[in-house]
Amino acid sequence: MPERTLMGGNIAVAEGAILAGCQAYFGYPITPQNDLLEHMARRMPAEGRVFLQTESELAAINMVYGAAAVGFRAMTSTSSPGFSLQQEGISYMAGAEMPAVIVNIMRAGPGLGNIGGAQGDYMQCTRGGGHGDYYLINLAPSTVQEMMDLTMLAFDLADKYRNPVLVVADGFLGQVMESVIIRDRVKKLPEKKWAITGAKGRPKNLINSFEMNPIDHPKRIKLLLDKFEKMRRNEVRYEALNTEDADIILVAYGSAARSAISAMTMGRSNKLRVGLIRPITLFPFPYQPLADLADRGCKFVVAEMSGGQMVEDVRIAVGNQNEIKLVNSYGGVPLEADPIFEAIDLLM
Amino acid sequence: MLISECRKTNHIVIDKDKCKACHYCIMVCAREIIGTSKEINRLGVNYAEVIPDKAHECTGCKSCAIMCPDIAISVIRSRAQESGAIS
Amino acid sequence: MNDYDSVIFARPDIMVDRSTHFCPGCGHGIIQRLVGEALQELDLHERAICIGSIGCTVTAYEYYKVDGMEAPHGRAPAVATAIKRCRPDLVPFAIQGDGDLASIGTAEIVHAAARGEKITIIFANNATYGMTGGQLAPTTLMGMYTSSTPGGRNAEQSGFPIRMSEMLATLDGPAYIARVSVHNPANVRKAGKAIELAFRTQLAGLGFAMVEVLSMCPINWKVEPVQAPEWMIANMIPQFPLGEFKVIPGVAALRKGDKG
Repeated sequence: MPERTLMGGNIAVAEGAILAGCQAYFGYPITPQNDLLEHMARRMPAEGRVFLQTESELAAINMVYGAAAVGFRAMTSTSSPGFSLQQEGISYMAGAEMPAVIVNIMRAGPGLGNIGGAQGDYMQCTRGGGHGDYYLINLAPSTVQEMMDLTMLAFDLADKYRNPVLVVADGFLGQVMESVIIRDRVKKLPEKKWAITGAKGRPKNLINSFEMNPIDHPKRIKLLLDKFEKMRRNEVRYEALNTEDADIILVAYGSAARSAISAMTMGRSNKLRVGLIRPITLFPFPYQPLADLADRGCKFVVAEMSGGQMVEDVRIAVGNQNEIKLVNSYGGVPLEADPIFEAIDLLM
Repeated sequence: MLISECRKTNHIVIDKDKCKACHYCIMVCAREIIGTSKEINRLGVNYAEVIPDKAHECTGCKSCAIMCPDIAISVIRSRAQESGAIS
Repeated sequence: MNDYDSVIFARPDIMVDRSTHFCPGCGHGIIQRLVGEALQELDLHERAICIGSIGCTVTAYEYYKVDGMEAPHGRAPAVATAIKRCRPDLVPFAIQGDGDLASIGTAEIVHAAARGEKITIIFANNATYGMTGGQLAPTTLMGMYTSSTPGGRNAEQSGFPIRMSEMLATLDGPAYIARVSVHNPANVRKAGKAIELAFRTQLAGLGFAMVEVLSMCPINWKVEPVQAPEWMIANMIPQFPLGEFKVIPGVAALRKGDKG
């Protein structure tokens, strides 16, 4: 493969997974990520790996669970309505401490909604999503390069924490085509002694989340909670642009961040001191950098493609004293730079 | 003959603490050699046990063990008996 | 024991020596032993993967000394599919109840069967939801009392029972589908043979294999255990006839190899 190539967002996710050594992919068609599934249908068998189009997203996530259990790097991709179906399986995997990568190319909801890109699954993605006490690291690409790179990182983090990891993008990012550097293939996959590979020469392994004993279950959950705390301490990722002297901080991720960057540039060329904090992990959320900027007296403009979900995390970070303005679009409509710039202008 | 002495005939061994007193074994034994104990086991039931006077009538057919949902019964066949070395 | 004696029936070594959680007279206890006997006979200690489902089979993997995992309600066929496709050398199997296989998991079993996945499914049919206290199952008989159809199952409210073996046998994917029962020793023996054949079908790479086992649930049938076999004969078997519904030639050949 050439060092640089033009690639669509969904395809970059697929290729990133293959480079990361994804050994099994299970998926179900749903717009706007059908090209990801179709690309995997061609590429995975060519690479000698497992591919299957399943009967539903329910089946797909359970196949990911089975593949993960035998120690394979496994992935599924879907969009918002399918992601809802997968919550049960994800909860089971978090409870059983299974690594996996789930890609959600978000579209407008609730319900059947629209096939246009959106960021309306933010709460679902960042607060576990299914039942019980668990969280998933959420990686939110904003460029096609990040679609590839963060998918690769997702596999590493999934194995590191023995937990499913989400790659959270939106329909627009899935289709955008950009120049991408093809990364190197991962050569060595981590050993997984806990996997159920047949009880040969060792006692049997069990993979489950069921624990009837009231003495043992809280202990088990405590181990999980400690794990999530470790994620919070060690895995926060974000990009800070022009924040050193900024009075107004834009907060945006994914496609909305691309428009926010344009609005920031417009602001700067109008001598407005605007900066951007772009969360790359939605969980764990970059509360600290936002809190630090709030302490300096900054105002905040949250730009997202939803009714207003990430804005709540910004409020948690910033506290009650600083002004936060929400600029949003929803219903599958992209968020453009102009309304973000108008909000900056008004705040000044 | 007492079951403990009866090592030269077909016989069964019932693990009394696994027995839940479902009585399937009693139901299927063609020679009716199984009854219920007057004692209770750790599960609190009157467990199945071989009637001492009838123990020697066991044919080693395994029906009791085959029906037992708790795998509480083992069946031992006596080659001595089978071969006619003892009557 | 002495030199003259031999053990002709005992717990298979592959099974953990422990009490079961089943009610007195529960058919699951017999079924799980038959599975254990098959695993033992076929020497699957190092290759079998036991997938526990929801309901009375939830702790299935506690009873065998093989690797095990838990599947969400109804999803075991999907989990088994992935295990087999990723590691064809492993032998995944699942024991599922009425709710798991015929209700919430209907899509998963149909599609695993349709794709001809080389897995082994044991379907324990006792016409009720045992673990949760005896509610309506897709296999509940007409007029049968359940805790969620206290007036007895009637067609207007709850439709009709589903015959899963017959339904799945209409697909091209399955290699072996049979319905057996465990209500008396002769039938338990036949059930054991069918279960072993279902595993051998997987080992020979012939395709999807399922054995539906009619099982006693005295508690929820509201009978004493010793009355359950009669209840089975009078009520279950007329609705769920015993027999083989799909036997592809490769499987028949395996079975022929048995005789003698």
